[in-house]
Amino acid sequence: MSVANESFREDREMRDEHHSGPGKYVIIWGALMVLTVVTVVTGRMHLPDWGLALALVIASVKGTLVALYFMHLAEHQGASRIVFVTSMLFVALMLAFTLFDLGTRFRPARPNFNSANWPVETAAGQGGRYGGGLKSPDTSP
Amino acid sequence: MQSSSAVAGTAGAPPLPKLAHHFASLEVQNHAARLGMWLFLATEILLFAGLFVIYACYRFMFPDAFAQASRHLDLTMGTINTLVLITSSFTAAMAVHYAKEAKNKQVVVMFVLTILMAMGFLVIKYFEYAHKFHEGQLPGPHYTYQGIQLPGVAMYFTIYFLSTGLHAFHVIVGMIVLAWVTTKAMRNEFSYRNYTAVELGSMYWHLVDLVWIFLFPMLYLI
Amino acid sequence: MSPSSSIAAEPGAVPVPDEHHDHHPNYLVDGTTLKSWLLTLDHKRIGVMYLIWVLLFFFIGGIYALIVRLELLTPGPTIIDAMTYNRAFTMHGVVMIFLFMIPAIPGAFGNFMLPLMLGAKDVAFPKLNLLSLYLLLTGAFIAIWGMINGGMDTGWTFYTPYSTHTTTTVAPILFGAFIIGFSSIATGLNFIVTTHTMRAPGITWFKMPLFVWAMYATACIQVLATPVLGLVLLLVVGEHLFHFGIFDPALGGDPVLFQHLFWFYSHPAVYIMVLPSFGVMSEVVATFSRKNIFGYRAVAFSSLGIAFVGFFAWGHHMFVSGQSTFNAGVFAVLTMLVGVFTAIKVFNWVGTVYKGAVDFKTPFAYFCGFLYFTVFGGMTGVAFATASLDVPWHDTYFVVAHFHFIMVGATIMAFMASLHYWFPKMFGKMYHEGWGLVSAALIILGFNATFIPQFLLGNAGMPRRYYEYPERFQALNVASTAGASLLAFGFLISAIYLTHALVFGRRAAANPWRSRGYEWMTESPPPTHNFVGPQPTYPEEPHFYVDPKKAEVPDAV
Repeated sequence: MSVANESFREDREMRDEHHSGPGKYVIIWGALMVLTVVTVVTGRMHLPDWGLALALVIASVKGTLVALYFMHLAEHQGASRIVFVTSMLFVALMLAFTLFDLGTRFRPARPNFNSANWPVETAAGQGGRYGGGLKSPDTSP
Repeated sequence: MQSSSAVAGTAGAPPLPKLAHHFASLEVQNHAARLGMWLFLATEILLFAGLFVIYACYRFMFPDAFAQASRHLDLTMGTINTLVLITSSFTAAMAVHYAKEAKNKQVVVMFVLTILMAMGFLVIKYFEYAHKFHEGQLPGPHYTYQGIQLPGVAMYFTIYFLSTGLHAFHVIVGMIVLAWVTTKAMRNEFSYRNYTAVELGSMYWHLVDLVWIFLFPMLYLI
Repeated sequence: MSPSSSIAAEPGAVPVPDEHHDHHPNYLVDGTTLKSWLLTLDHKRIGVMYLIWVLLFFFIGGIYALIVRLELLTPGPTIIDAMTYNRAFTMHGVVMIFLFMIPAIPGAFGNFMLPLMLGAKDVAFPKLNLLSLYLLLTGAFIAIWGMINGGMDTGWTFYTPYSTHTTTTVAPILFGAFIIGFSSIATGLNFIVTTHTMRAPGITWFKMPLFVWAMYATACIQVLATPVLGLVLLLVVGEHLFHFGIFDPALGGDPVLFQHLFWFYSHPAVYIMVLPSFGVMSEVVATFSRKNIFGYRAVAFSSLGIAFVGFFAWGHHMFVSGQSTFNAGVFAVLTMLVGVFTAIKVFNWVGTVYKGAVDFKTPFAYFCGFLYFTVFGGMTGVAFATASLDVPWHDTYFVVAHFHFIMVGATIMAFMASLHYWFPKMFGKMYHEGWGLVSAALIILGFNATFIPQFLLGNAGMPRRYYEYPERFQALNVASTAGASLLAFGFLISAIYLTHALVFGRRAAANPWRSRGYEWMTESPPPTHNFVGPQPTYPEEPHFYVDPKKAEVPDAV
């Protein structure tokens, strides 16, 4: 009978009362330890451009290993994987759109507004291709 | 339908699990339990996601403050905590493995180790928090730390306390859940036909570990 | 052949009493102690208890609505002062949304019908089901306690920083909503697992009733969106009590960030409220047109589509809040996509009625109202999605009218339709059809009289949540209040004849509508374990009235 997240291997193993040994878990644990050391070492280097991306990639790899092997997602079929992946997708969605907002908002509306470098000075006479152009408050129009 | 009490009641043999009347078979019941647990874990992921969004927004706005404040955290303690939590995840996975083999004593050992490591995690966290109390690096109106003079530093520590606080709450809940499953293992209940409780408790613990795997670099390694 | 399987063969046949029925009492009489109800694990009893409580909460929310409308009869103070008015419209929103709309159709009718429609004996986790009811009640009582102790005046959207600075009782009300969120998650989780694992043999995904598809999509939203609300509620309560400063500009926080997190849940929440009603309508329209649903797969997929796209649209509540114009543009376009899926459904419902043999009973009357309200409410929604139109309309009565068209016009029409459609199924009694049509007419007329003036008011510029307004708006406000009274009267009549039918109504047949929906393939009211004897088989799709191969006009089926 086909059932949601029925694992065919698990079903066979259930009938044979046999399953893989503990070695797999030790290897994954070892990998996680190594990756932790890697992330600490690279994190302390404070790489300017790719530090954040690298940390996220390493964390994602660690998370995937935990999900796939410790939580047996690799063996469960069907609905469980969709559930897990979907939740991650929606996290990414929430992050993306919120950061879009902060990244593209009118600067004075952001909490970290620093009036020292606003408004941006444009060269005299340059009003932009279609008109407009911002002048600092103390210049006359 | 089998009752779990008297049927396989010979000493040492784990009892057969109870099949609820509305499930077609034991396999369906177990798979329903697992799918239900995955859905619950999805809700926990979305819960922490909100905090990650808040973190991401404020880090985007105050990168320097966050970077400097992060260096004032004790990286050694944080790293030890990460290694401890990952190892506790490993022992939880081993508990599931032993439950499938009906080695209930090993299940108890593994879960006790997991709980002990969780307690170690919380103890280290306590020391970290105590240091922050001492320095005045507290959320909101209690913030009195003068060490870094940049806008956004107080926000970093607020987010630090909220994220690690919510995570620690889940660690405590996880410990209670695992303790309850351990008492069932002490009554010799688990075997290949019935290890669902061990698996579900262990899954919750893995989620706690998963959240920390992301929290650690985001807070300590900016 | 046992009588129970003959029910499937002849829809509408009254079950013949015999030994079977003596040993399989229906769920209403199987156990008459209070404890057998309060500690029941039977999804049907839990559904009935949900129904009773959500109707009570609807009544409470309605009282607050009448207070608001009475106050707005005159431009100045009428019956209450300004602070009380703020509390009244806030409580109207909180009670109606969190205590009524979110749990109503899933809790009452989803719980009752889902297992019946899938040929299952119960939901996947019956104890969790009971817990979800008690979580709803616990949260509701905490919130109501907060209301009695003064209530909050922030509007149901409790925007920061006002909600973190106001001295009104924000904490218990938001904490009550937090607990209700858990109830919602539990229900959603239960429905998803039930749909995946407990379908009877023969019921494949594309042979499930459309109500199940709608409930499944709703459950997905409940599971994914509600935790974010939970977090936001906790953070606002925390900030109210401890002043963290995450959302407070005075402490370096960003109030728009609060709005992002809040609407990330609250926009999908409106689909939690409306998708179940779409599901009910798919059932009702097929039954009362005596025709197979037009475009089953399109309707099924559109439910999932609405659930999915609904998550990409939250920023349309924030067009004027200080969000970036880039984001506003993105959200405007994505919001319009949702209209596509809703339009697919409307088209298919109309296609079902076309060339059908319409049996104009009360549920179908509500369907007619529903269709009109969905179309106009939905179209004004697409108008709002156009950001430039939203700017003058934002926070006016235009938006109030828009969402009431959908929430009351669509959802509550569907709630009333499901109440009448499934009344004989749930209670084995029949209500008085004449009074049913009368109250449906009153409700639809009263609704129009209440909310069309509000469209006009909003377009003329009257803001929402305002205690006082200029003289020139009074006529329309009075019209709206008159309409609200008519609407309330219509609901009152429904309450009277339905309660009368519960006690004195004539015994209904097992399938009085001669519906081919799967839930009608057992007795009304059903026995405790839903089915007597072996599992029923489902050789045909649900609502299989005409075999397309043998139809006279094959392409009209």
